[in-house]
Amino acid sequence: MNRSYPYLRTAILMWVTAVIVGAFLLRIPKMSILEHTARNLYFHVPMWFTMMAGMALSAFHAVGVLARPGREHDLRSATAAQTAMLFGVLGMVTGIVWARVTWYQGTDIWWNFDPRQTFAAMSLLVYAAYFVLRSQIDDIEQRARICAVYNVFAFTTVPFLLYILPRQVTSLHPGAEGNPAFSDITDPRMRLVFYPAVIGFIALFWLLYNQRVRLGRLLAAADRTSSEHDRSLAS
Amino acid sequence: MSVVREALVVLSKDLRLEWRTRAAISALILFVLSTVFLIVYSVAGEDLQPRTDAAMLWVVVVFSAAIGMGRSFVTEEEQQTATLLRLHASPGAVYTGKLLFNFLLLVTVSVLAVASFVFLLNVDVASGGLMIATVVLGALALAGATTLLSAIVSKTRAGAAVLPILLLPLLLPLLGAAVLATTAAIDGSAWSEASDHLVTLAAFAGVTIAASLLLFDQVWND
Amino acid sequence: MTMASSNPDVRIVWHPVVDAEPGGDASATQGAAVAGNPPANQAATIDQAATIDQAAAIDQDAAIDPNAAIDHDAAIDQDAAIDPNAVIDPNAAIDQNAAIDQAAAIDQDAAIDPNAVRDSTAVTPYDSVWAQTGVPGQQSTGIERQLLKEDKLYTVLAVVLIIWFGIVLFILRTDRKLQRLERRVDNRSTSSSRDD
Repeated sequence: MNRSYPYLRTAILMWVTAVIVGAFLLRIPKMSILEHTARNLYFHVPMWFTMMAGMALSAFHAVGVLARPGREHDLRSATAAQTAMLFGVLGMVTGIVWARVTWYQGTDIWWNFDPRQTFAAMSLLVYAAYFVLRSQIDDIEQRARICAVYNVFAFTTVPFLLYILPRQVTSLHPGAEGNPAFSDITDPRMRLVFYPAVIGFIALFWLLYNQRVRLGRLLAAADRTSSEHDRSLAS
Repeated sequence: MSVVREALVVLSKDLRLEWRTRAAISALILFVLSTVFLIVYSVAGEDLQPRTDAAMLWVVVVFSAAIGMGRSFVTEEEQQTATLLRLHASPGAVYTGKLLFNFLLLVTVSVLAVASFVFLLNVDVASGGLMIATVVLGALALAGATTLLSAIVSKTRAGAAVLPILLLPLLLPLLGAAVLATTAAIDGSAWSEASDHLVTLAAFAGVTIAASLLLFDQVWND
Repeated sequence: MTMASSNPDVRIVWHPVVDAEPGGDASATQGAAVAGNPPANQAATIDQAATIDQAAAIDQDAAIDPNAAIDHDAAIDQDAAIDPNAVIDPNAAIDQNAAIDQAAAIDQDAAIDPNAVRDSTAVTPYDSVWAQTGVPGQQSTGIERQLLKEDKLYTVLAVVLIIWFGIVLFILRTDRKLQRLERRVDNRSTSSSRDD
């Protein structure tokens, strides 16, 4: 990992840069109100996909904590949730700005009570509560187990929030009641940048996730070696 | 003893304790009444839309649950009856017993809330049957979500105080469906229109209860 | 996706097909949109109150662009901008742009042209025509107006670049921190073993 990591990092950063460049150079259909902000599609949607993938990874490692207790799965579960939240917040920000300059241009509205947006915000709150819970339990093993239980439990409600419910109510988003599905309204040309964007953002997630996992491991190792160091000095 | 009998034993123990002290139920009743009076005062006689009434009803119920339900496992830990329970009943039975107890509490709370809304806020419920179905399914879904979480918070430092933080974000699907179904009940719509929402409530209850049954063991046994 | 059988004289008025089945086959009905496009249909397109027209299968604008929501083009309906109900009502499927639509000529060139960023003559089936019409709306203040020029390109660019540079800097900084920590852990473990 250490040997090939710098190359991977460079490759991923180059890929995403290429995606961004492509996003702005590729000609897009001109839609009223949206105009060039339609390019936001390449960023807003992949960020949410990445968040969902991150939440799934977090739940997967939570199950791992329950099956095989240990620090590794707990660390990965928490880190995945953290990174997923970052992407969720970014997705929220891009969504809000997008709405502000297009459908809410000229008005003072920032939060449009769009159902899907509210559901997404709620799922962010669910994972924020996960971190509150982590801070509330002192015993390391118990904390890992209890938080893993909450993680899995919370994850069972996420499909409701992000997938089933938004389709039932009317909303600004595609796929909601009254709106055709996402694939129906995207110009196939846009898929040329869209799919690489999804891949790029998931790779970015992997990069950030990996960094923080290594950071967590190193901090734990630093604690251990510093106590060894102190003990060896005392002897 | 079979799991069902064990669960019923746990339930009857909790009911008996509750009947003696009436601690949880009185707290819940007072909370609901105080909140409804606050609402009555704030609304000051204005006519509200059915949607608003339904929304406030369920907000009151959900907050009562979040505040009043936290103690169901905490008291076990505090009074150190938890070990006894662990010895005598399987985790599934303990969970089911607690679930049923919470369900009964929540049905009482919801019925009280609906009654106070009808009397104090002059809400006219056109379809009584639909309202009852919504209350029952909503209480079941709420109990499903709350029971496991109250077991989780019994292990934390802050205890029951952190239950609202954990519970409220998870209840959004429940709230949406319950409010829509209640609106339909107040409006007097046909069952077919509200069936979508009732199904969502039932599905939410099913998912949370199933997940809780699988996960409860991990929380209950140290 | 090219308009293979397109007649240069046919003007594309972007309006939903009235009898389309919901979520139907987009490619198949696209031809129908062009074909069933007589100017006489304009009367139907101006009918904004047609709530019976539910699922316009190719009202693709409604998806990312519910014109019914905050439609600045509809000079008649300025209130839509602050009407919260309009936001979640994409069922008003009639494209209000059609009412003032001047109709663009069809562009046969559907190939990807990476050099054309703001090529206003290229038209795709997904377009709604805004280029010819002014976009009436409320006046935006100083920096907002600057950002919204050039068809809002600057806004998107600014948001994306800020986020992107932030992420890159963060990644590089974390890597540097990781290297420092690794060195420290290695030193500590070697020094503690050396002390023996």
